[in-house]
Amino acid sequence: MKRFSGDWTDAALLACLSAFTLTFLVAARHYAAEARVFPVAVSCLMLSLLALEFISRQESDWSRSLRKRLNPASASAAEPYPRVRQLTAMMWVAAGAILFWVAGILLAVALYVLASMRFRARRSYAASLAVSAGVTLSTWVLFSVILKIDLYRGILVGGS
Amino acid sequence: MLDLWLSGFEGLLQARELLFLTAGMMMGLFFGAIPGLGGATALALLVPFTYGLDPFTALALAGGVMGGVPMGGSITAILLNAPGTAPSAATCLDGHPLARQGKAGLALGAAASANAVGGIIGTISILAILPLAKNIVLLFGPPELFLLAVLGLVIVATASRGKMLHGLISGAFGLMISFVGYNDVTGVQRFTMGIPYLWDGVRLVPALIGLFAVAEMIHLSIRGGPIASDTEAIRITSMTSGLFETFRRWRTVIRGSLIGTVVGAIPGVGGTVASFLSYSMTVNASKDPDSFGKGNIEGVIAPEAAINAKDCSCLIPTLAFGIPGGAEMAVFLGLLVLHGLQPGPLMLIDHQVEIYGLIWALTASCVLASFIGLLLVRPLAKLTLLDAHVLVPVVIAVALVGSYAIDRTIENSILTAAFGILGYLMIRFDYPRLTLIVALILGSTAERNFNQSMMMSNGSLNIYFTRTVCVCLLAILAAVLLFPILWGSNRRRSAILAREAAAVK
Repeated sequence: MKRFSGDWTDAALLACLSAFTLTFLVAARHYAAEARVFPVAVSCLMLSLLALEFISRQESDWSRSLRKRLNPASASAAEPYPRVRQLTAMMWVAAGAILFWVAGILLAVALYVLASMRFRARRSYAASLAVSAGVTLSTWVLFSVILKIDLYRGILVGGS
Repeated sequence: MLDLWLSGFEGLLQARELLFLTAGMMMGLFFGAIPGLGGATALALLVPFTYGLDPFTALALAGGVMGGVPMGGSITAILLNAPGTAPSAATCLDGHPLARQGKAGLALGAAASANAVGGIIGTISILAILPLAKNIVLLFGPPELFLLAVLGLVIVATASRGKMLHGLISGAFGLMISFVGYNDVTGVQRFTMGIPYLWDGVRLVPALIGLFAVAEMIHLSIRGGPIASDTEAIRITSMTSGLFETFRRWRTVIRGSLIGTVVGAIPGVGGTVASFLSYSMTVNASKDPDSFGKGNIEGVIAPEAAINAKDCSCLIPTLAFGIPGGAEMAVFLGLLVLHGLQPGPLMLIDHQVEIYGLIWALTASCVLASFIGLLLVRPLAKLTLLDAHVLVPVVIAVALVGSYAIDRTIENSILTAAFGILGYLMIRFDYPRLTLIVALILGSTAERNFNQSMMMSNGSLNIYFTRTVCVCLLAILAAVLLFPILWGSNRRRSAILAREAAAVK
């Protein structure tokens, strides 16, 4: 074994998946035999597959041969965009979900669209407000008026 | 049989169904035209809105979307060289050169009529195959269904070209997620971490919305800027002669449609393989192969016919065995489950009217989309000029609200966001998302049938080696797992021999 072919994020991913699987395997031990047989089998399969992936990522002749047979297209995943940009995009989605939970749907839709338009799309305040108001109004009309769904009001105002 | 066909058709002829079919078709056209969105995203966003509808209307709506997407994808592929959907990439090869020669109308007309004819041939094929499929699925008991679920998962994983191992890891991960919640064999809660929301398991529809719609939006927002380049090149003439061109090249249409039908029935292989296979076989069969890639109209007709024929035959594994043929079908399965239609052998027996209604809806949508698509060529092409940063927050907001609306649970929105991030990470690290979702769908079926098989055999695994269908399925499973490995090794051996031969010369 010489060297791992991917970068540290590939190694971190494999480590995270292995930790998740081991936790899953440990948790499965507490269930009755019929309830754990399938999860344990799948966890063991997962660990074997992760081991194969790890081995195939090494820079030895044998590993390269294994990689060519099992995963030729995934030998090195491309990193076409800056990591900060990727992380920011994911954080926006996470922030949106938290906003929905805290502020309630209508307020969250208004704030989320406004903030995204203003700070990510860099549109003027007027344009951002117009789009935000339009989307919020459409959401209210579609869900509350037409589909008669009570929209969640957020934990701040005791919504449930 | 004819009664059922007609009942399905009659059901679709109601004003309400036609309205929803048309709305779905329009949505399919729009989502198909925007590169990066496509049918799976359109359906994922649509599923929550069908909640209040009866199953037949919901299927008409879904059929409308699925029928509309290919035509939308073809328009931007021909005009802007930016395929709205992956299968339409094959249309770019000759469609865009034709557009650059000022023959965009000819290419669009041919694409529209090939789409419509391909859809009709696909429908005829599925109407012929469905009665046979019904007899075959009745041979399947719990051991066969367990092996079939495993086979479906392995086929989808190995069909992820060049990333079989990633496909299998993704499948195993999906199975692990599918074990969360109430276990219907022992009646215990598993892996819920004390969270009551997870007692019913990881809910399929919010997960689908996240994995397809939100993940694509994250990807689009990272890419940024306008979705495609400018639309200056749009010049549309001689559309009518394009419409008739398809009928003059009837051999190409039939060949493409048959390829689409066969490829579509294989889970996980998908429309891209169908369209490129149809294209390459047309090139091979042509007397003038050099003209392809430079604007040969048959290079437009062949992939277009295959794409729509594939959409119909994809329904066979999806409905008969609950094994989705592709991402779009995986989301469609979520819609079926939401409406209490459990895909599997019984569905072909208990819900035949709905199935035939869906097939007619898909066909009607293919034909309708082809002609309405031609009227909407310009606005659809201009959609691709939209800034991704404007589109993304709107779609994400709709996805999160739609997810909440399924059963008025805010945790659904959080689950959607979590699966959106997971979906993006899978794109980033090159793990196929389809395998995960297929595992999520098939996990409980596989476990239930495995446990039932064990009860039938008093815990002996011999049951899988003593039943004829099981032995056949095991043989196919072994072949599916070994084929990519051996094929790769043969290709390498051929390459080495070719190099040695060249060195000798």
